[in-house]
Amino acid sequence: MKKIMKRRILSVILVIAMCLPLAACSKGGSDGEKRTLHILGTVRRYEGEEAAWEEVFKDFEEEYNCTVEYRWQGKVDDMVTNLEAAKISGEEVDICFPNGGRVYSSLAPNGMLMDLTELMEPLKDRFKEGVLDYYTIGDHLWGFPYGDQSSSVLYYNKTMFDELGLEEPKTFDDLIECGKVIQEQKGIMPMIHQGKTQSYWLMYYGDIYAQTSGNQSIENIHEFLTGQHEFTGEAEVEAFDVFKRMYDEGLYTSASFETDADGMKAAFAQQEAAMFFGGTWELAPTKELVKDFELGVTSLPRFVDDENVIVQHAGAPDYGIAVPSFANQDNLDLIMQFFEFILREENAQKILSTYQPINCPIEGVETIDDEYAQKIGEEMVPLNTIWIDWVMPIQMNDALMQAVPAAMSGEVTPEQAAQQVQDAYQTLVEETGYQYDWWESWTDEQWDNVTPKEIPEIEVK
Amino acid sequence: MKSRKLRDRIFIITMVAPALILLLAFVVIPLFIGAFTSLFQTTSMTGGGTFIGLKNYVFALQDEVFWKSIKNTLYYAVFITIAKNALGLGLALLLAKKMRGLTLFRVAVFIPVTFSFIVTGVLWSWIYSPVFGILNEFMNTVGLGGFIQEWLSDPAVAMTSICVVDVWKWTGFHMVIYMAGLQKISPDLYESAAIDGAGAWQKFKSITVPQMNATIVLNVLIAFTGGFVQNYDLVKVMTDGGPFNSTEVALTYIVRNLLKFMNVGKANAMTIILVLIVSVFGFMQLKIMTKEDDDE
Repeated sequence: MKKIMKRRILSVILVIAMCLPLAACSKGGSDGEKRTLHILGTVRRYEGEEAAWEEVFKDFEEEYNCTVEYRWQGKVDDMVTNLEAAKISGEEVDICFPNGGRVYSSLAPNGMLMDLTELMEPLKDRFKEGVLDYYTIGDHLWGFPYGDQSSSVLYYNKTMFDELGLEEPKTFDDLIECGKVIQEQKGIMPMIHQGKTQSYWLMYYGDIYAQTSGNQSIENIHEFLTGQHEFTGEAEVEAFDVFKRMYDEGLYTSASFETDADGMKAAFAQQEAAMFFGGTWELAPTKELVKDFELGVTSLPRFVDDENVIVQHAGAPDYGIAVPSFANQDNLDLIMQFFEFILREENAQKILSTYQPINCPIEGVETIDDEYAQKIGEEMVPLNTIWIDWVMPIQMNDALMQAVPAAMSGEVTPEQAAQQVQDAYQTLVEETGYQYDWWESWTDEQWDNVTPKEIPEIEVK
Repeated sequence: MKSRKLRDRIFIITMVAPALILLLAFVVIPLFIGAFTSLFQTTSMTGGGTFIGLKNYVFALQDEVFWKSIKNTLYYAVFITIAKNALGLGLALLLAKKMRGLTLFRVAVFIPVTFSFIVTGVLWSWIYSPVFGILNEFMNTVGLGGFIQEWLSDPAVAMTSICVVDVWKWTGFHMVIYMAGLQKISPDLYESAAIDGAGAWQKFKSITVPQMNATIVLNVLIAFTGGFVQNYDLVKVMTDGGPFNSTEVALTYIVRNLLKFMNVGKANAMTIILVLIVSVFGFMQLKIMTKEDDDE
C-alpha cells in the first residue's frame, strides 16, 4: 500500500513537471506604475556598444521617470521573425532595430512598421542631408539610420604588393596580372571571398553590376521589379561573366565557396591570400588581426572597358531603428522622446563611437581619425550606390546569391544564371502576387494600421 | 469496487492528460492550423491573406528546389540509417566484450552524442575547411592527397560530407541501444551453437540478428525518422543548403520559405506534403520490419 502511495506521489510530481512548460508559456505580471518602454534589438555588434546603450537607457530612465526594458536577440536577419513572433504572442514592442534591407524588402511592405513621416519631423535636422532617404519608401519614412554609413572595399596586403612591385589594380587586366604575380611568386591564393555567407555574393554582384550597367544598376533593378526590364540583359550577364573570368583566371579558388568571414580574415592575416573584398565594418577586426604586414584598402578595379564608368561601391547606413505598427500607441510620446534622447549629440557619440564610424549619418558624431577610414570616407563613400539587395525582394536576393557562385564555378553559364534570377521573379509574382510599388495599392485600412493616431509633443533639447 | 474503478480511471486520465495536452497543443492543433493556412496566399503568420484553394500545393509540387530537397532528404535518411546501424551494431559487437580499457572506447564513441548540433556543425566546418582544415592536412600527410575533395563546396560531395557528420554524432547512441539488446541474448544460445560447430558469422546470422530484431527495428526507425526531421541544424550551420541547393533538405527549404521569404501558405503546404511522405515511409518501414513478428 505504501509502495502504491509512493508511486502515486511520484506520478503526480511527474505530471506537475510536465505541466511546467505550459505554465512557462503564460504571461508574467506587470510591475509598478512607471511607464515602460519595450525595445527589441539584435545582438550588438561592436565591442562596448551594449554597455553604451545600457548607460544611455539608464540616463533616459532617470530623466523621464520610466523604465526601459530591452532585449538583444539574434542577428539583423532575424528581426523579421522576431517581430512576427512578438506580434503573434502579444509581446509589447515599442521600438525595434531592423537593418534597412529588411525595412525595404519585408517589414514595410508587410505593414509591420509604423509610418514615421510626421513623427520624425521635429528631429530631421539631427541627420546628415539625404540619409533619411535610405529609409523612405513611397514618400513615407519607415525608420531612421542609427549606425555607420558603410561601403564595400578591396583589402590587400600592402607589404606583399610593395615587395612584388605591384600597384593597386585599376583595371580588370591589372587585377589579373597582380593575381598571376602573387600566384607565381608566393604560391598563395591571390584573393579569397567569404562565399559561405551568401549575402556577400549579392554585395559583390551589386558593385560589379554598377559598372557593367554603366552606373544604372539601381535604375535597372527598379525597372526589373516593375516588369519593364528583364534580368537576362547584356549588363546582367556581363556581371556574371566577370565572376566567371575571375575564377577562370585563378584570382579565386573553390576555397572561397566554403569560407566564412572568420576563415577569410584568418587566411588573409596569415598571408594565405593577398586580397579580399569586404565591407567597411571589417576594417576594425581586420586591423586587429593583421600583425605581420601593412594593410591596404582601395576600390575595386574598373571591370569594364568604358572609362566613363565610375567605380561605384554599394553602401548605406544599414543599421536602423523603427517602430512596429503594433507598438503601444499610448507610448508614442515616450518612444519619440527616446528617439530625441538618443539623437542628442552626446548620446549618439557615446553609442556610435563604439562603431569606429567612418561616415556617421547622425550630425555631430565624430568619425575615427584613421588613414584607411579617411580614404574610404572621402574617396569611396561619396560614390556609393544603394545595395541592390535592399531594393530587391528576399526571394530575388536568394536566387541571385545562388546564381553568382554557380556562374563563377561554371556550374551554370552566365546566361543561365541570369535566367535563373529572371525565373525567380516570375515565380515570385505568381506565388505571392508581388508588387514592387506596394504603397500604391494599399487600402485605407492598411494605411490606418501603420499610421500614428496622434502626433505627440516632445521636448527637443 | 465501482468507486475504485472510477478512481483508477481518473488516475489514468490524469496521468495521460498532460502528455495529451502537449501533443494536442504542439503537434495536432498546429498541424490542422498549418493545413488550413496552406490554403491561403499570405505573408503573415498572424493569419489573413487570400484564399487560393490548393494552389500552394501546386506551387510546391512545381518547385524544382522543393523536389531536390525531398530527394536530398531521402538520400540523407537512407545514408545515415544504413551507416549508423552498421557502425552502431559493429561497434556494439566489438565493445560489448569484457576487456580492460574498453570503457574508454565506449565513452569516446558516445561523447559526440552529447555535443549540440551547432557545436558539431561548426567543428566539422573547420575540419573540412579547404584553407585550414585538418582533414585535408591529414590526407596529405598520409599520402592520400589525391583523394582530397572540396568537402562542402563541391555539389557532388557536400551532401555526403554532412551525412558523415550526422553518422559521427549519432553512432554512439545507436551503439548503446545495440549493446543493451546484445545483453538480453542468453549466452546458452551461443554455447549450444558452438557445440553444433557454428562459426562466428553463423552465430551472428542465426542468433544475434533474429534475437535483436526488436532492437534493430527500433534503431532503424529512430535513425530513419530522425533523418527526415532532425537534419535542419547541421545543414543550416554547415552549408545553409548550398552550394547551389545541393544540400537543401526539406526542412531548411520549408524554413527558408516561411521565415525568410514569408511565403507562409506555401511553406505550410510543403510541410503537409512532408508529413504525408514521412508517414507513408514510416508506415511502410514498420510494416516491413515487423512482418516477421506478425507472421509468428
